Amino acid sequence: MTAIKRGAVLALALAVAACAQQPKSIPFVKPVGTEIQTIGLLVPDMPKQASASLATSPGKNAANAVAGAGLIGLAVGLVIAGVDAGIESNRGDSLQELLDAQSFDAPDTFTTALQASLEEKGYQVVSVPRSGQRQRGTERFQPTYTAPAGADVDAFLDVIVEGYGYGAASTSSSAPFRPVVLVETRLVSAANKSVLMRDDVVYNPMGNGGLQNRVTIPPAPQYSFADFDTLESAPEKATEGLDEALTKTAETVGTLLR
Amino acid sequence: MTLKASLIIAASGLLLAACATKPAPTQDVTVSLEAISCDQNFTRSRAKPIGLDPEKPLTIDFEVQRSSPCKLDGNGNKQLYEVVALPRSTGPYLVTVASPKIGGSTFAPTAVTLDGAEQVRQIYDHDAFLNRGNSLMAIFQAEPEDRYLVISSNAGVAGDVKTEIQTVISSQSHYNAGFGTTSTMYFGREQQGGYTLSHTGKVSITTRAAPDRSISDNAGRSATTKP
Repeated sequence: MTAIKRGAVLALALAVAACAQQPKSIPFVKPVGTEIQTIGLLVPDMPKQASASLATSPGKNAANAVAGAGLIGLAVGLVIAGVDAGIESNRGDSLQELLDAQSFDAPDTFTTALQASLEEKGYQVVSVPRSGQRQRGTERFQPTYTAPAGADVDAFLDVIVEGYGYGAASTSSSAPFRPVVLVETRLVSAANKSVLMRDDVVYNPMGNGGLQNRVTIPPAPQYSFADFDTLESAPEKATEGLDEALTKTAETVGTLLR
Repeated sequence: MTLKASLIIAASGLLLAACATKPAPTQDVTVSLEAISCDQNFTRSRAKPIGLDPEKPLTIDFEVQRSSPCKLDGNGNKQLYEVVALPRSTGPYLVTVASPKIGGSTFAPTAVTLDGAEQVRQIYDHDAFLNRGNSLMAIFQAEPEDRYLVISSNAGVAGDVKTEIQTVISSQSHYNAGFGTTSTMYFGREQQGGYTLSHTGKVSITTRAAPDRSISDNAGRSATTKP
């Protein structure tokens, strides 16, 4: 998937999907007669690259506006949308370069924090490889789960990180860039494949709707960058902010299994 | 007055009534129960009943007030509480306890279910209440043995102040008469808010049928939007 599509997926997930019909959260229930002691933690499905997105922008609005003006307008709108997506993609590339320069590994940070959170709740954790790579934005949780040879797993925790990075509500300086993370989670019984828990967790949601069906984490106030240039000029702080966002999100997923 | 004039006036009145803004909801903020006397004995004499409809969620709203019963928690701290009589059921169902953020405060909740003999079955302390939308919320599965739900304030966190940064997206639609199309512009802004956790405040309890826990029905958000 191209960087443009990746950015678009995160922006869509953070801003628009919040308004869409969401599956209801399913609270964690321990199955009758069995104990959940060992969780098979599937390697989280996570983009390799961070994104830097605007929930709204003059470019997106201009593209929307002219796209409504007949076929010529639609063509112009697509060009503007393409330019806007290109800018977003460049920001994402810059953010990833910044994180690489800080030797920050987002998937490793998230997975380590998630494992620690589960262990803190008293679970033993076994890492389970993910079978195949899903096509982001079109596929879903893994259809079947198999424990590694020799491992005795009571339930499988499937976590899809739809996106992570930085986001801003608009180009206004009063809407700074802050860390964002969006994950979907599902815990499945190894014994009968029933869903023991299903929920979504969003760090710094960029929208108003549909939030009652997902756990939301307000962003830490200190990791705020007036614009993307300011973010780029403070790579250590920017990395620290994303580290905290991923860690808090992972800890919250653990809380769902209390 | 003609019938036509009467109808116009009546219609105008209805329109104006529909457009009138409701006053913003409020709730008392109570960070200390020092002045309130506590009874040592738990009472469920004023338990509020809630039903269970397999077809749709049922909700009851109430407010934990200074006049609500008071008891001591395990550490001897005072807490206000209200009791909900859970529905008689033959199988599991879901219960949602929501504490909405209103006017800068939120009820600091804990939830405990009791069986018919008032023995504790399930405990949801303050940490189990997570941010969902504009509420602190705990969702759990109740069993037929759960007969009462006790919603208590939490002395450990009452008085704590939380600050929150929120992103708000608004939209404006414009009709382009020349092309007969509508375009929508989106505007984003950030707002800083916060709330004080309080011994008093509004609470919503919702019951709904147990969810389908089959793996195929919970395949992920993408599955619901897949063409």
